Amino acid sequence: MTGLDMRQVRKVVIVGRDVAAWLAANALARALGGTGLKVEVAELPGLLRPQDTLASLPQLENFHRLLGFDEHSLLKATGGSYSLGQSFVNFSSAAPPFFHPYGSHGGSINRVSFMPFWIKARQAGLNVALEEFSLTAAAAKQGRFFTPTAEMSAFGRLDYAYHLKAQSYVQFLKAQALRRGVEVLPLRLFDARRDSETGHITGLISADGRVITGDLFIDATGPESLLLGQALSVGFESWSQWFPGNRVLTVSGERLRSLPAYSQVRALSSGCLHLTPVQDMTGLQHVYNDTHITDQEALEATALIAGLRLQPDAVVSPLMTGRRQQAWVGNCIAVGEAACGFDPIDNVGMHALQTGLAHLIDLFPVTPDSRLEAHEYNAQMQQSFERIRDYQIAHYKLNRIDNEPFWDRLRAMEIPDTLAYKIELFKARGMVPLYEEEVFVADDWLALFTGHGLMPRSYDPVADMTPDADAIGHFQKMLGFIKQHVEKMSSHDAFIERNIAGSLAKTV
Amino acid sequence: MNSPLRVVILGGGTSGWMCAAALSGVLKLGQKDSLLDVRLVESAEIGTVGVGEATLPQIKDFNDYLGINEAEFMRRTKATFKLGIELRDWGKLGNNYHHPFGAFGMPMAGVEFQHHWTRANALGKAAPLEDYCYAIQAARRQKFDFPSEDKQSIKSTFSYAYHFDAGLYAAFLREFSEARGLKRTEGKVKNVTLHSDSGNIRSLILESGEEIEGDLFIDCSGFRGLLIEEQLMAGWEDWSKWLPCDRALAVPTERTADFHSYTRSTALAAGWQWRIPLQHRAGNGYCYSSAFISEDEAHKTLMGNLDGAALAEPKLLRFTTGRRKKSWYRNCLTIGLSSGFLEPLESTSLYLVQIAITTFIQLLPSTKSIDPKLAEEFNRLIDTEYKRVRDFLILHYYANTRTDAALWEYTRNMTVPDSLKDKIEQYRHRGRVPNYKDGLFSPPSWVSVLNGQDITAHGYDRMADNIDDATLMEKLETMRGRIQASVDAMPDHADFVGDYCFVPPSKAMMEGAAK
Repeated sequence: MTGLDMRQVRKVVIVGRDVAAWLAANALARALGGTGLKVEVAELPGLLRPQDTLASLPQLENFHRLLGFDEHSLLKATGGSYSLGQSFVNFSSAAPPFFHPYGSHGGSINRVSFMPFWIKARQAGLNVALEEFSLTAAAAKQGRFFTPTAEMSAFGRLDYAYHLKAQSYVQFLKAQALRRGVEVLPLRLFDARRDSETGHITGLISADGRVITGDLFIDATGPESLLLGQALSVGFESWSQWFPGNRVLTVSGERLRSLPAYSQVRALSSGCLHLTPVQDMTGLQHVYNDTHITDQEALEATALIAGLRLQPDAVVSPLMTGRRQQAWVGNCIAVGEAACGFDPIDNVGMHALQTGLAHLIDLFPVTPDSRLEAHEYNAQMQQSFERIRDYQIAHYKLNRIDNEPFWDRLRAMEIPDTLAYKIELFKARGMVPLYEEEVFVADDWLALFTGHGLMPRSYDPVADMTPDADAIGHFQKMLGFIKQHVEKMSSHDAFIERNIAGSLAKTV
Repeated sequence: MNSPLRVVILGGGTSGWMCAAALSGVLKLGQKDSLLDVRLVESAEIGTVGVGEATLPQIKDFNDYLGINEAEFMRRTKATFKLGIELRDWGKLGNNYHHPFGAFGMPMAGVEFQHHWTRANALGKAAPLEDYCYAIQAARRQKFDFPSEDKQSIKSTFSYAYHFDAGLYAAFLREFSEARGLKRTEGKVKNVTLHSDSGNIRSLILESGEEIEGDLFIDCSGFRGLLIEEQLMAGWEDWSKWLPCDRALAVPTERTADFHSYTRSTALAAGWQWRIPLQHRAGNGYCYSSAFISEDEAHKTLMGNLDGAALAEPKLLRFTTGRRKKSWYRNCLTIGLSSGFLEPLESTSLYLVQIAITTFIQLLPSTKSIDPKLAEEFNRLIDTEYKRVRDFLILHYYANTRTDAALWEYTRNMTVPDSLKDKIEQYRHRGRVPNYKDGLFSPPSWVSVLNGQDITAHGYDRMADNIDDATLMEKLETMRGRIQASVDAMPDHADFVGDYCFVPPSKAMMEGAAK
């Protein structure tokens, strides 16, 4: 045993509830269960309601695969459906809705990427949106879903995400975790006991006097951040100057007649309405600011705008956007909303949780002294959270909604330098600089910027080496390719019916 | 664009001709719809530095990008193959390790190999780390063969670069460029005119009286930065407190039997000495700090260390390690030594030229009034590249226990950038190495130098424990055996070069005479 410190972390206690706690339990048990690590969940009462839905980003598919989940069983158990992207409605007073597909736009022409050709064509008067060149967007808008063929994959990146019923997802995660040997202890109120010298947490003491000891504590308690924020007093950096909403109204509506394979965000006069379709219902979230409208007005607006029959299950929760100044202090790591609260736009919450867990496994402490891991983790997570935040801020900053004080103020607001630089370079050249720890890829940023109407001043002149007639020919071929393949795809409904047999859709 | 952007490259060293070749190879020049009108101005009277005889594997991508035939390029530049760098006496006297162009082992159970090795080593059962590295095993035995295309094969776990004569490479690229419409002008710059309103460069006036106007100027004039510094005063950031070498004495020697498929670097009292085998000779040099040794003493040390007859008197180069504060400023772009200088210890000179060229092509201006955002993005990307290389070089000097010379004491005790300190601590604590999106170096490079210079990992990734001891040992032994068996079957480097691209001296002479 030459020179290695063999004192290992033997037991992890995850304190919290719902998706954060149970996804953490699965991830840790799967990655480190074989190394003798014990994983225990001190479970607080769940706060999810039947009307809560979750929308993921495409990266969740791979994370699930690493966790050993079977996609069809998951969607069957959770009443889930597929998502090919998001539709943004009414973010401009004049322009039509735009689509953010989970896939690429166009193919390269003579080994030059598609974007400069599209910019050039737009400058010459072409009136075809970037999303028209996305197979993913086209399929979504026509209610289709598909398994990519080799020919389709050669055309470009084709990803998808999920819409899930939150409560069922938690039940699924919990069952999987228990099967892996994770132990669960119900908990209500608790105190944290700390080592007077190191400040490390040594145990949780429940109201009835039980003590739960551990080497490492994961705070999965949600926005309250009971362990990191409250017991360890780690400060909160608010992002409210960029995110206008401070309340979320959640309600369920009837199932849409044909199930869209995408989610929708509608800009309202003083907020946003998010629609997340799952197999047997439509999840609605209305994000607003209570200095502009009351909860009652928010509910009325939701019913009016959604045009759906709503269940009488509306609830309102506060929304706090921002991050804990550090996500890892001593032997305590906050994940999910305990580390960072996001605006619901772009469905980033699940992904932020997943990223926090992936980095935690990557930096799992080798000894009880984890100061170096904490230092690295905090730096990575700050960057990761801020890159997501920048992407979200762009929706508000770039809105083109006229004569609405709520939106006028957002258009005028100061934004972080990192985002301002991206916007400036895009305007200059139609390219997007990507930093380390970026979550959204170039395709996502192009959809965002062009969707909100930014048009670059110039493009990569290498595109000029292809004669215009050639480029037009390629454009026509691409549009033809997309049309031809989308026509052959089955509807999202039929796809679910066929592949997720015995699903909720059948039983209700 | 109405008329092509007029680009003027000043300087015909390796940087200038690499730049000219890329612009003429990738963009059609000399046709009526050309994007660019490129001219290169150089003077045969001004010598080129050409210390960049050892390269990194990325140079192959550059040549491929231009569509250059490898065997022909190697014949023309008297090139040999390179699998990495041998570092002698770095860290401590008697030390000998390799920085390979290839991986250590293969990842297992989702964990990088070095973690498994640290664990096996702690169990007292591991062979030396380099036994699990294909590139090092082949290099140690002075062998060479192309990597396998089959990603499952252990023989696919390395890449390679070249040693070549940089002067011949420049000549080869000149021919390539001129054949594709590049206009070369012989002459020395007498004067430079600026636009009075913008302060941009307007034209170069040559001693012949000819005036060459341009929209964009690429300064490849070397250390002095004739345009970027002498005209535009972009400023210099000095890094010599971390990298104190400021001189190099270079001397060619006869080819000997020591025909290694790697670059050799030997740490000496006041710097380090290189040996680079070419087909027809070997390049040698002593890169040193004038604060720690006199020129005479350095000269004597170098000549005393040569293993073959010197073919010329040593040539002295002076430099200051550092970086131009803005490598693209107004309408002037710098590529090569005018942009920054980092000693050739890790053969990064031509890589930095290459990355500047490819980044420039991605940001090629589409209008004659150049958008300053393009320069800003270029500078952001290139800054990252230089800083990454800088930190990696500093590590070689900092991680040492040598007590025989003042230079090593100085560098051991200097304050290093936090960006490097963090990396060293992460490795020592848990064998973690950086894995960036942008810039050099890759994880195996960090592992080789950290481990090679006795920074030992005290811990490893916990996920490695998912494999039990017996399985781990079995996998390591199998890997080691497969590497040995495959390297046994590899040809010697000398034979491989002889078959693939060797030009017999008599034939080379005849070709020379025919010109």
